Amino acid sequence: MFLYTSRRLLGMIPVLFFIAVVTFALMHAVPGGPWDREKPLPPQALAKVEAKYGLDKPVFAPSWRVWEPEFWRELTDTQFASYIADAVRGDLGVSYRQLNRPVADILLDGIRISATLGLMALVLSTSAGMVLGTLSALRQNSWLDYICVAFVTFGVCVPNFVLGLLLMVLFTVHLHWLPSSGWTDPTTFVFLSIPSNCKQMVMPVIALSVFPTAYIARVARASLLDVLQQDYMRTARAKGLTQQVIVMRHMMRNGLIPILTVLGPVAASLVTGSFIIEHLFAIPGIGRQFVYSIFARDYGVIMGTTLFYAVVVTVANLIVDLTYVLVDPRIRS
Amino acid sequence: MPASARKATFTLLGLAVLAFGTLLAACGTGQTVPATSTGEVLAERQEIRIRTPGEPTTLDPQIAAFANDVTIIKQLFRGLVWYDQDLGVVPAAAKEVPSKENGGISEDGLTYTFRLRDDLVWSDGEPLTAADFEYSLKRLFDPQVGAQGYYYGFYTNIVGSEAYAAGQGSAEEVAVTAIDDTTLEIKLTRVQPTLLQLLALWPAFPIRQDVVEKHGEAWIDAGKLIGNGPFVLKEWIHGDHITVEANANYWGDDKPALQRIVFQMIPDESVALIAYQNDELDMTAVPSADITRFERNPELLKYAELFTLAQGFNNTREPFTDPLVRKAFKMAVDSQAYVDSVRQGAGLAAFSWIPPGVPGYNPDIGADYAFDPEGAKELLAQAGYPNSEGLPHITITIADTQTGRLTAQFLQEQLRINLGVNIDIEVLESATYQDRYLASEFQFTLGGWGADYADPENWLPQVFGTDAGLNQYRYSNPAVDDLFAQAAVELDNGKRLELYDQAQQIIIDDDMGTAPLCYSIRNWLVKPSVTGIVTTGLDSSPGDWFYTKVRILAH
Repeated sequence: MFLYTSRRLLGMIPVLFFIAVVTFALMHAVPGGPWDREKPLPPQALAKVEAKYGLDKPVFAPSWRVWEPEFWRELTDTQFASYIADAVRGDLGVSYRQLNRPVADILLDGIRISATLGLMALVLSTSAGMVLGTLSALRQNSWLDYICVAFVTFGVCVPNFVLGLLLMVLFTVHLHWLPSSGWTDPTTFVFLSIPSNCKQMVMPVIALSVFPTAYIARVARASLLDVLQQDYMRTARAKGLTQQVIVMRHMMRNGLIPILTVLGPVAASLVTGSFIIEHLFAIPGIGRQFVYSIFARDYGVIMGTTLFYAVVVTVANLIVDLTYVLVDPRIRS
Repeated sequence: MPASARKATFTLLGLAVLAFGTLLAACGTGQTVPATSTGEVLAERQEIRIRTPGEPTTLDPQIAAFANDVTIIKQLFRGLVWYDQDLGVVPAAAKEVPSKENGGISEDGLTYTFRLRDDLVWSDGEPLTAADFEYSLKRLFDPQVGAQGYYYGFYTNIVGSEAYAAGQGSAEEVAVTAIDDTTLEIKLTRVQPTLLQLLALWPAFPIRQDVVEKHGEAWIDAGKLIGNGPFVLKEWIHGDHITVEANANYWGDDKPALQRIVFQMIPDESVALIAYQNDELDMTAVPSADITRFERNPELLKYAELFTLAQGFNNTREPFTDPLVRKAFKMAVDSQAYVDSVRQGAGLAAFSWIPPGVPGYNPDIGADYAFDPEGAKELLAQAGYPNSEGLPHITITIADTQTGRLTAQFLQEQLRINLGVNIDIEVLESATYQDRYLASEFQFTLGGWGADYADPENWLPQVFGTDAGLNQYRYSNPAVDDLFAQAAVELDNGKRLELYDQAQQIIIDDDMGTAPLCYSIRNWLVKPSVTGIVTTGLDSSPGDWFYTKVRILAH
């Protein structure tokens, strides 16, 4: 188990490097730069700014003449090489949009909040999704099943900004029960922030949860229906086991694998935050930085957020693979 | 006395104390806030919550350029001079505005001497002296600091500044000198009548040298930043809000009535409107789609900002090389209809480039080119395109904003109906558009200008001078360049404005280098309990030059 985990974690390094190369290339290939804003900088100022942040150096390589010794000497003095050299030492650079603020600070501040929202949405959507899926599967083709399927279809189809706005119109504009937006105390993490922020969390968490709930419910329903067909289920019922034991011990454990598979990417995307929800509800998380940084051509933050997302997805998949072993003893790593 | 009587007495005494106490308590909790001399009854909590669209880029005055940044910086610092509500220059840290009469400006107009107040202090109580101004103004030209910013170019008439900014001089050679603690001397290479106006802007605000040296680039964070303005930076939660509180050590005559201002960062303007209606905000902008809905709302605040939107022609690309074509395009578009339909009344039809409110505004300029489809068709025929035939393919390139799209669609419709010309719309992502625009890689676009300060010097030479840095229209006319050169050294202000007026006449009436479309009017909503907002055309947020005058009424 330990060896397997270490191997997987080491395997993350070439993946991250590859992602870094591709992102860096795309970032610089796109027209426009960090200082192409409505107020243009005078050319002398622009030259100084680019020198300050190393943006006047070649992006990947000084030239393509690999046979010349200068090529290899100058290879370390490129933007990409400087970025990697700094990144492995923990220096992710500074932001241009939030001038000179370290990217690491921006990431940490945002992750705290997005992770809180994401974890709550994950808990809510997993439990609701499992319940809906299980009920649907057990009572297939009853009115309960049809309601669940209808809800699931709605949840998968409605975009979350429409949902978010509808919630806001209902709970803030008409009922005045909840504040429209914001996050009272962005400096605390997860469950510590619930007392001060609970009213502000309600709408974003619901809006974030609807799609994953629907998705998990669908997968759960399909998987559990499949399990219900199996011979061992008939045997269990014939043996006279109680419904609870049949459902919990036999049905769930066998049907859990597809759900777990799906949970990995769902958890990863929830925890890294949703741009739309964070933009709409004015939540200072990392999710909206993914998009803001691209529009602003904020290179340091683009790289930071992309690499962070890659790490989260890899770790989430690793955790899911490890839990397979716990759930299904037939799987050996 | 007998036991029963004692018991009764104590009971009665107790009741009496209770009653008296209640009476006292009732009197004590009456919150009587004394009415002001004007008879206004102010609220207990003088606190206002204002919407801002997002995180400031920086709060460093010598580098800042964007509206979010500037609004907050103006609360935390005060320069040598300030504006009054008509954008005239009034003293702030200086005792009086230098002039030839009081000896503050030398006869040749090249030396300015500022006598500072004796009572200047920073928010932490440290004395503020002329040396602080010397440090800050020199920092504006520091090649590692201000010379990487947007505004230092306005001040490069100061002796030695240009060389220092280019990395060839040194700070010592910049002619900003603190003669003593309360006297500051500035020497210019040539006369600049607009210098005083420019010294009211934020690049000239003083900052604390020891704070910057101690904290480096992080000196602008809450708890570190020290300013000399009416407010101090109390809290900055990145991405969420900024809180400023009244400065207990403020030396100015305009002490604020407000105790606290919260700048709430809400990126989506519709959500900000919902927050306003839910009493979470006291001031917010009206989203462009909702302007008609709030037309008659008493909470609406309308004010003119010094901003002109125009049809931007690339004067070096066909067919816009011909002034007749440009004039035809101007006359084919109904500016009033634009204001009414697309802007929903939030604007004024524009004919001259310089808007009302800037000295040098001339309502006669462009008046010959009022909306006239027949006249436009005729001009186009004269240009060699009878019945609008033979024109090359025309594309208008715009950035992806809602107003931009609506404006481009409006122009497309107007040109089609009134002139018989079909144009295509090319929508680009914002930074991609900026990239193309700055390189003048467009044929036709939405142009315009917003004032940095209220003077034609800001509106004309940088935009219409041949090869000027911001002349993306590639307009060029030697007669105009000549007028600009004369105006730059003209000592007499009246003659100077006259020269700029002549230049504007050539640019618009003779050449129509760009076709003005509308002057901008902003619409904001303000809670009725907020009073004292004073707007100017140079506001980044309404009233932000004069938040010291704002008060909250009891409600």
